[in-house]
Amino acid sequence: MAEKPVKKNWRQRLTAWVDGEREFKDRSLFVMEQRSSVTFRRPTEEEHERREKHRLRWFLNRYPIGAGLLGLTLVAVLMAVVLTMPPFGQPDNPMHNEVAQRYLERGYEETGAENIVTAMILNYRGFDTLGESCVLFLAVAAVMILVLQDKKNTNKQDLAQRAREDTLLKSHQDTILKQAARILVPVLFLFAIYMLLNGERSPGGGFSGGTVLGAGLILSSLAFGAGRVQALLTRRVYSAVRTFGLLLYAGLYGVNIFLGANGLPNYLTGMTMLIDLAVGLVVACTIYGFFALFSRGEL
Amino acid sequence: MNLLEWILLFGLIVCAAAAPLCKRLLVTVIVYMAYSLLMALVWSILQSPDLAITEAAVGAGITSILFFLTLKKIHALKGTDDG
Amino acid sequence: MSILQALASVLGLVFLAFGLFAFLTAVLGLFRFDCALNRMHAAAVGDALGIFCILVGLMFLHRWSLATVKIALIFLFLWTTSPVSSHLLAEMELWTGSRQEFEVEER
Repeated sequence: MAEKPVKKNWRQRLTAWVDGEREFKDRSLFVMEQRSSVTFRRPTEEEHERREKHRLRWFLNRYPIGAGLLGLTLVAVLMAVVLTMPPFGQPDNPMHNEVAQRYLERGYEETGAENIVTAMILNYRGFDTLGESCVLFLAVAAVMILVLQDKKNTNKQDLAQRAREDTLLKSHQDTILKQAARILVPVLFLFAIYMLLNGERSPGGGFSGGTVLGAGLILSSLAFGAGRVQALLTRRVYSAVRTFGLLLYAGLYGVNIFLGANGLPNYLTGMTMLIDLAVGLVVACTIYGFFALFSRGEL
Repeated sequence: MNLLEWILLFGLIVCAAAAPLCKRLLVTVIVYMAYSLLMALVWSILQSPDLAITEAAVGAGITSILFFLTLKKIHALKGTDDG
Repeated sequence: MSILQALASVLGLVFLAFGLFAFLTAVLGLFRFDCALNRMHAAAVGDALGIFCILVGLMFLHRWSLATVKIALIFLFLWTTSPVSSHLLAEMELWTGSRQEFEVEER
C-alpha cells in the first residue's frame, strides 16, 4: 500500500506544480471491500435458466417497441427535412446557380470531355474520384488481410479440402455454361473496353466499364475454371495492375493540377480517357479480387 | 410524373420495405437485387444513363454475387431453415 | 406505303400484347406451382417467349432504324443468357433440393 497523500489546498498544489514537483501517484489499483453480512449464494441451474429466460423475454417484448419508436423518430426527422427542402425541379432552386451554368457551358472546352458527367467526376471533382479509387484499393487490401489463404496460414486439412472441391468442380463442369461463356466473354470484354475508352463521349466511363470488365473476369473464372484466369492474372500481375491504375490516376491528375486544372492544352486532350482507363483498371481489379478472395480465398 | 414512374417508385418503396423484413437472408439479397434493377430504370427515366449503367452493373450484378459468396462463406445457404 | 406502316404498327402491337400475356402466364405459374422445377419451367418459358414477342413487337414499331438493330442485339444477348441461367438454376436445384418424388396421376 502506498502511503496516503497529504491533502493540499489548490494554492499549495499550484506552487508545487510550478516548482515542478510531481505528485506522488496512488499506486493501489483497487481496494477489496470486505463484505460480511450478505453471503453470496450461487443460483441453481434451473433458477439461472429461468432468470435468463425471463430476461430474454423481457428484452424481446420491449425490443420491437423500441425499434419501432426509433424508426418512427428517424422517419419523422427525415420527413421534416424533406419538407424544408426546395421543391423538385423548380428553376430558381439554390442548386441552379452559376456553377452549374459554367459546367454546362464551358465544360467541353475546359476539360475536353463531351460527356459532362465524365468531365465532372474526373476533372472538376477529380479528387473525389481519386479518393474513391483509394477506398477501393484499401478495401481489397483489407479483404486480403482478412481472408487470403496462402502458404503461411493453411494447414493440411484446408489444402485437402480445397483439392477435394477442385476435383468436384472439375468433374461437374458445365458444358452449356462453358459454351455460352465462350460466346459471351469476348462480347463482355469488348463492351467493357468500349465503355472505358468512350467514356468521355457517351454514357459509361470508369466505374461502369470497370464493373463490366470485372464481371467478364468473374464469368470466365466461373465457366472455364479458376486456373485459367489465374494463369493469366497471377497475384503479382494483379497487384501490379491495381497499383498501376492508382498511380496512373494520381500522376495524371497531378499533372492536371500542376497545369492549373483549367483549360487543358491541346496535346493533353486524351487525358480524360486515360484517367477513365485507370479508374476502370482499379474497379475491375477490385471486383475480381473480391470475388476470388471470397470464393476461394486465394488470388 | 406519368404512370410508369409512379409504378416504379411504388415498387422501389415496396422493395426497400421488404428487404429488411424478409426472414431468410437469401430472399433479402434477391429483393435487394430487384430494388437495384428498379433504381436503374428510375435513373434512366431521370435521364442519367451513366448512373443507370453503373447501378445495373454494380447493384444488380456484382453486389449480389458478392452477397451470395458471403452467405456461402458463413454457411447460411444450405438447407432452408437456417439463414 | 401508309398501309404497310399501319400493318407494321398493328403487328407490333399484337406482338406486344401477346408478349405481355406470356409474361402474365409466367408470373402466374411462378406463383401458383408447387415444385421448384415447375416454377422454373414456367418462368423460363415465359421469359423466352415474352422477351421474343416484346422485342419483335418493338422492332416492328421502330420499323427500319438504328434502334431496331440495337433491339436485335439485346434480343440475341437475352436469348443467350436467359436459358443458360435457368439451366444453372435447375441444376443447382437438382443438386441441393429435397428429392421428392412426385407421383404422376394418370387420367
